[in-house]
Amino acid sequence: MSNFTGWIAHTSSASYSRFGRTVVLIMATSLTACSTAGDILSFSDVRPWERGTLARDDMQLVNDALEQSVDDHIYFSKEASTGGSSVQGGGCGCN
Amino acid sequence: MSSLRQGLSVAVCTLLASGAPPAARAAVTPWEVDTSYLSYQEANDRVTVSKTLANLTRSSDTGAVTVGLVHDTMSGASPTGAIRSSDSVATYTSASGSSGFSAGNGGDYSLSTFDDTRIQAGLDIERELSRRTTLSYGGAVSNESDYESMGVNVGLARETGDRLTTFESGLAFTTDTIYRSASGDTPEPMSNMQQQRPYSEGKRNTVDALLGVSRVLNRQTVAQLNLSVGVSRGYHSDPYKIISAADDDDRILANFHDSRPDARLRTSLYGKLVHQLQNSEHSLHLSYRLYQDDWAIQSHTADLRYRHQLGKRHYLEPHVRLYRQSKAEFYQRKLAVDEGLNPIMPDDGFASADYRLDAMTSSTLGLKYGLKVTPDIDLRLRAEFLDQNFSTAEYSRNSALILQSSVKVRF
Repeated sequence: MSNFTGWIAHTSSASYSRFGRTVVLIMATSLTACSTAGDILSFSDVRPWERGTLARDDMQLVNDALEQSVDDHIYFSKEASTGGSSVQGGGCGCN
Repeated sequence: MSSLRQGLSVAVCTLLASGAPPAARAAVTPWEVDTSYLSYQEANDRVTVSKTLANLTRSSDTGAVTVGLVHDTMSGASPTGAIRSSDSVATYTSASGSSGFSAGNGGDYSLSTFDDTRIQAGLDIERELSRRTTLSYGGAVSNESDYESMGVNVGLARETGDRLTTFESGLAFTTDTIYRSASGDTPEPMSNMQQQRPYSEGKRNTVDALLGVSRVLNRQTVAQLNLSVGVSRGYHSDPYKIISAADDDDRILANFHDSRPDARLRTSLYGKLVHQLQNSEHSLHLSYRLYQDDWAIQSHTADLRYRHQLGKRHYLEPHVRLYRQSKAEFYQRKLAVDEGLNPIMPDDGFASADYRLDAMTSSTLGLKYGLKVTPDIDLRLRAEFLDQNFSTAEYSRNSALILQSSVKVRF
């Protein structure tokens, strides 16, 4: 595993930025093709029976609590900033 | 007539969808267990973490109870803050979770090795006080060989009459105890490591408060805005971190223990948008956080997840996270020395070379695959690559590979 990550760390700059560009391109294309800022930010009265989409798991503000708790812990350990999305936390002597 | 039938059909489907109120779901599958295994591996034999998590939830007509367990095993090497040197004369006493401190090689003490285990247990309870008001409260304890943490939290959420807007408030209190695993003490901040005087264990209390509002903007979009403030008092130094006093050629003359202020005020503004793309089942999660504290650290965090449905049962989710922070006002790579080779000590007594307090940029790229194995079993697999670049820290780069697999079962 360490060899693998070591390899990534030393050889990934080019592929990393390529991958990043690809991801951004996919997202930008999807946004352009399927939606606009106007769609996102338009206000409308949503009746209870019109909330089928909003009830989906993937439309919840936190749709994977386990993943969020893991990410919060990783970034709490590796960066100076923490919090924002909730007040629940757990201290650690992380290195 | 046809449109009326369609409308009723959508309404019924909405109630039966997985996002339906707990009462509707509880009648069908009251139990849910979500388990996960995560591997975090830094490059160059730095930190390795194996994390196992399990959340067990029981939903009822009036709320839900969740018990969460976390087990971490951590090992590897972490930068101490000391300058890399082959002719260091410093001696060290301990490292996190280790009975002793081992030098990297040839007298280079810039990395400390450690081996530790952490266990965390938590309980969260959610109760509907009325159709529009939900109370949540809980607590968590965490224990490792050099750190103990206990926390409680309470939150209240209230929807408006049209159920389009939800106001939230939250309060949390955490108390931490910090000490060196080998000796059970903390070093005197800013003391010379060769003339150190041990202090008792460090204590720190933290209060976090949050005010938030979420709003349904339209049939496909939800927005959230949170303002949070955190105040902590007590021991904020890191008992394992050190800072070198060195000349212009980086020859180390002495090493001093990390010393930070005994209080910290953090504020953050967090916004999030969840949107389903038009005429599709693909969705977007976009968030931004502005963070500032009274150690002069300011940071910006942008996070974007795009879920691309591959079919009814599975999806791909690329993820990008970008982060940038300024350095803490007392962060220094090293203490300079005067003409007589005496260390120039900070006027306020605070200095740290902890790489996490340096100015940095951090980026994460990831990809998740999700599969609904059966209507009640979800599988998620993800891989993420974290890359951090520091402005002046002795180790200017850190990168890590994160692999996680999770299974959620409802029954």
